[in-house]
Amino acid sequence: MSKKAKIIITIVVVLILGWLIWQNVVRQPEVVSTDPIKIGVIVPLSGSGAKYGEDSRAGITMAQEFLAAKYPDLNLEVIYQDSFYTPKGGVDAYQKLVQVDKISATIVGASFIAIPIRPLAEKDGVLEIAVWSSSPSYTNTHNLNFRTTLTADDTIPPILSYMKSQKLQKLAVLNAENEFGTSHKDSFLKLSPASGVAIVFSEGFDGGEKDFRTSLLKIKSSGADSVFFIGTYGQLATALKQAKELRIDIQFISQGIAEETGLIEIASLSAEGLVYAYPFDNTSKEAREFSKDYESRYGEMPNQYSAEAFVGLQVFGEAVHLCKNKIDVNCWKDRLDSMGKFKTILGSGSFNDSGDLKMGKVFMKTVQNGQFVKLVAFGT
Amino acid sequence: MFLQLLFNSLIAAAIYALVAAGLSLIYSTCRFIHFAHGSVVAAGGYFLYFFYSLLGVNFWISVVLAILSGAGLGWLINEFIYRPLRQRKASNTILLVASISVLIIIESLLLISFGADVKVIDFLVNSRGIVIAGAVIMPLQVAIIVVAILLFLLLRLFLKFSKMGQAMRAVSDNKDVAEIVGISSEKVYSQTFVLGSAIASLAGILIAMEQNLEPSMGTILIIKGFTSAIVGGMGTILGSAIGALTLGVAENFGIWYLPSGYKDAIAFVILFLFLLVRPSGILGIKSSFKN
Repeated sequence: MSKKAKIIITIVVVLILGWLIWQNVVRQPEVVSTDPIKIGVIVPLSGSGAKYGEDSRAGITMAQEFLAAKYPDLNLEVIYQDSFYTPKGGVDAYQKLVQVDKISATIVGASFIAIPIRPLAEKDGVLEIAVWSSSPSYTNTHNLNFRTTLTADDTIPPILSYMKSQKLQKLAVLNAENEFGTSHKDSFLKLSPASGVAIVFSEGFDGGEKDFRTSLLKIKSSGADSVFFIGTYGQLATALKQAKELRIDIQFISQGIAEETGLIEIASLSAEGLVYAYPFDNTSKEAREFSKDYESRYGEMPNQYSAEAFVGLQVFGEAVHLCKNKIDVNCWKDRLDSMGKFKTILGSGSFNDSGDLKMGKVFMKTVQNGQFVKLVAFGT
Repeated sequence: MFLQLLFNSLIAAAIYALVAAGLSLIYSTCRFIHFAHGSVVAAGGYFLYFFYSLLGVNFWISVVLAILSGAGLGWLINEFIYRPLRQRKASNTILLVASISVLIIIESLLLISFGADVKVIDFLVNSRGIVIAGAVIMPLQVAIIVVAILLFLLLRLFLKFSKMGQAMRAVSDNKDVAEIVGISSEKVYSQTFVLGSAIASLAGILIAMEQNLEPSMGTILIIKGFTSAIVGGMGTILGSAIGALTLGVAENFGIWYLPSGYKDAIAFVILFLFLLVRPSGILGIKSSFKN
């Protein structure tokens, strides 16, 4: 062989070797996995928020079945961890899921738990989908984090419009001292001046509080004609009951936490007339089949928590399917960002630039004769 | 407004006192802090829910059954957890750690058995309040205060005049001398746990009707009960009542001037101050059973 031929062959071999090395070492190979794609679900399975965790679990179970029927090749493994409805509990749960279970994605319930997990998930390259997480600050930065909840900034304007229509002008805010509660308070402080509603009293309470009597007396002294309460449904029910016992005649307003049958059981007649903003209509055309199936299994109608959890896993499953069932977090993120307008049981809409799902409507509802009744709907 | 705040304080104080009474009784005899007492309080409420709401038994019979069940639970805890540890000469620190474990185990069992959602005892649900000079108090709240006062009086009489009470005092003062004169300390411990847990069950029943039931309620209650007992004098029954009243008043009047988020901070500041300045409490450990 001539010297020239040897040089040419050597160069070709080096180029081929270099390409092979680049493919398998420098560029991480896409894992076309026959192993399941693991998604961790971090919701409260005990503690004061456990009912929300139970509802979420029900929604996710139904989503798994929905995805299995729609995409039989999809191989998802859902692993639950208890957040204990505390940020520390949520972070501990996340660490276990990442280090032991090697998850690639996570669904997290509650803003005050999703927010501390967000930078950890970012660092670990784990996709995070927050459900029933309404704090606007969750998507202050957006990379691998998404959510299926309307934010406090979306739900409070309808409340203010409703208050204006009822000539309620002096609002007291009673909020749980966590991200969930303070984000709603902050949204009210930001949005109420333009609507002519004055915040005359504002106070936070501890997550485990059960005695609101003194706070209610302070609200009465402030001259407020309405109180926005944000905590758990058990706390709202207790506050309603105690306000009635103290003969404090004031309009209670809340949001999604209010629509729980447990609220009616605890507060009984004290809950009559409670008004709240709610982002899910379980009687809508889109949700009808889901609601029927849910009620036959669990003996109650689905709520915001089960619906958002369902949609959380649903959109994740859609993204994985579009990425050809590969474990590729960046592909999933790109698919979710570029999903465009689509329909779910929450309504019709899409993810915006911050990773927030903007779909459906906000309904002002009330408790009437022990039932949750729609008053008026506001579009998003 | 002052009268309403006072009523609120008395209601809170009565609840704390009911929890602290049994805790102090057990501590004074057994000489360790039985943190699992909080879960026995919770279990008492759940026993009532089980008999009354789930099985449909008459309310008053359910109350009796719940108290007996709570007493039985206390006996079981002593018999199968603390007694074996005492037989192995376990220190009070180990018993304390064991009690915290039992607290968590019982709360977990309540969660598994009854679920996480808030449970309601629907007896006296829509009663009307009693109005006194513009302040409102509910009949159930009056009952809680009256029961707490009666309980403390009865307990004091029991410890002073009954044979069992005198045996408890003897073991509390000096276990070895009590054994010499023929008092079985193990029998006294068992009786103390039965009585203390029956009191805890009664507390749980009243608290469940006032504040509803959730599995983790015992943890919060034992912290307040423990604080009341420390402030009043751990091991003194009357001290527990005074400590509970101090705590109830401080919390409710305190959060009139401060945001309500500071409520627990007020309790812990009081606890800290007493531990620093007067660790024996208002009435002091040395005066155990002298009231």
